[in-house]
Amino acid sequence: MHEFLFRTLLVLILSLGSSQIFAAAGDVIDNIAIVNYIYQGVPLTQESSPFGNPQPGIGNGASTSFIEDRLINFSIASNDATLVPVTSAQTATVLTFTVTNNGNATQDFLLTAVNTATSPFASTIDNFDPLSPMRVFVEDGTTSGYQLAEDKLTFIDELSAGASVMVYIVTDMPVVLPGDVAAVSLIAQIASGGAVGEGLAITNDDNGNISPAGIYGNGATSVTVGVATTLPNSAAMETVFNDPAGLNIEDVDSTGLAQDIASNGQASDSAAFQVQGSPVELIKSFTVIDSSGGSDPRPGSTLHYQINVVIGGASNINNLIITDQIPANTTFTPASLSLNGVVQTDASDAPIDYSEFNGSNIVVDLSQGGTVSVVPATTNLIVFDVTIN
Amino acid sequence: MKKIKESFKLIFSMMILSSLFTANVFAENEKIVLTNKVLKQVIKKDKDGNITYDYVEPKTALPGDIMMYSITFENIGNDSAENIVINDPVPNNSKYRVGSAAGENTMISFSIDGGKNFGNPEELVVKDKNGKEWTAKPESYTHIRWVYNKALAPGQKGEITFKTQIKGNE
Repeated sequence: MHEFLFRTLLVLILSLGSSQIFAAAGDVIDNIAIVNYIYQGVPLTQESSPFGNPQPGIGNGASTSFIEDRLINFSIASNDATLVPVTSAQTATVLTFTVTNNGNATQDFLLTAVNTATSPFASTIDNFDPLSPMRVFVEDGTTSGYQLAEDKLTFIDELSAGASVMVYIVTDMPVVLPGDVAAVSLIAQIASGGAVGEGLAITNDDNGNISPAGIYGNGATSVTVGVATTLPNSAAMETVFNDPAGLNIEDVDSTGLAQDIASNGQASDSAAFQVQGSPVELIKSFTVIDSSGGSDPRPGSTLHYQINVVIGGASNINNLIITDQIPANTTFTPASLSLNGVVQTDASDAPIDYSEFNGSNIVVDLSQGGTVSVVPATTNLIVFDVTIN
Repeated sequence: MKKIKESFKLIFSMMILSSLFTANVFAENEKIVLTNKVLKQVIKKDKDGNITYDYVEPKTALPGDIMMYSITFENIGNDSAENIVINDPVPNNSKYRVGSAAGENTMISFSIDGGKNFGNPEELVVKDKNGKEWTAKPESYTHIRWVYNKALAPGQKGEITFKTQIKGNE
């Protein structure tokens, strides 16, 4: 009986990996085994059936089958590995994300951008929000990267199983200071695919999982909380949420919109903008006071200087020392130096104070010899006078 | 679509083949009962963290899930059945799990060409587009064949099994 096997070397020309047939939700996966045997000298062929087929002959068996269920699994990942540089009041600033459908059916995804309180980047602090409303657009495939004229769809339409698409959050910056950071999350909600146009949100699966409620589609689509059902059987296609939890801890938020636990039909990831430039801004001005009470800058007139030291950004500043050379052909007015209204001695006499006039410059050490940090969103006012020679 | 056509072809050719010698068979008494059941493998963890596998009705079936097919052949007739050979295609959307085909008193072989030729795993060779030959991956098996090397006496029952994994987006 062993010679029944063909002992031949089988060589087939196959281009490996090129003939992948994708498994798909709703497919019936069936199987019929066939037995050949000899009974009372007669060769017979007989098919299997799920409950036992006793009848020889082709066509008398039945398929052993079940239906492949719909797997909901997708992810969002920020493409911006570092803080995205912006400038104050810049318009149409862009964050880029990739949404990947890891499920087994074509799906739509509803999208929303939300402000998050936590920056995804270590040692930075979220301290402002982009102007509302933030817009979300989907790459249309014409030109990679956000294009105002091309990328207009506000939801992901018909993303096939295994496919990815880029999504852009487009925002405008308020007037902000260098160093300021704004963290933003993109959240996607699974929705029905299969037809062109925005599909309805799928807010529950058939396995006891639900989605939280939220506003999607640039505010156009309100998604309600799903109602859990548990109806699995092998005779119909069910939906099973199997999406992973968010990539960053900041994705998990106590507000419903930003929840990103596993198997809730939503996914999210965060990115952040940072305003470029020094977080320390010096604003210097002066007024002229002449000997007759006017403002004529002549020899003997006093120049009254004010330096505003404005700390922006999201981080403390250390070792901040302000030095200003007095102008040529002027003479520093002794004991005229003050910090925030407190008169400073001209001498270098820390810790009485941390300011001095050293003969050519005024020097104000706002960090007090390295002992204090200057915190964001504070202003220090330095004032001093010189007279024109 | 191609797959469906192929299976139609297969069934059609088998109909011709069987009609040659089974003309008087349909009215015969019952002989062998061939039963094919599919179960889903689920992981069970006991309180000590030990993992065992359970096999349950496939209520949910998702890409990556492992299915076990159990095929029994029972002789309910009065005479022995001989030269028993069971062929089973690897189901659609599924890939064969390496080493999973089993069956007492059987010789097991595989096909990678839709059931035309069968061989042991090391005999199944594919060529890539550069002409290099590789042993075919178990995921590319299309059919499995069990040759039962005994006669099946009346009242006796045999079982063969194999496992598949539902394909994902590879």
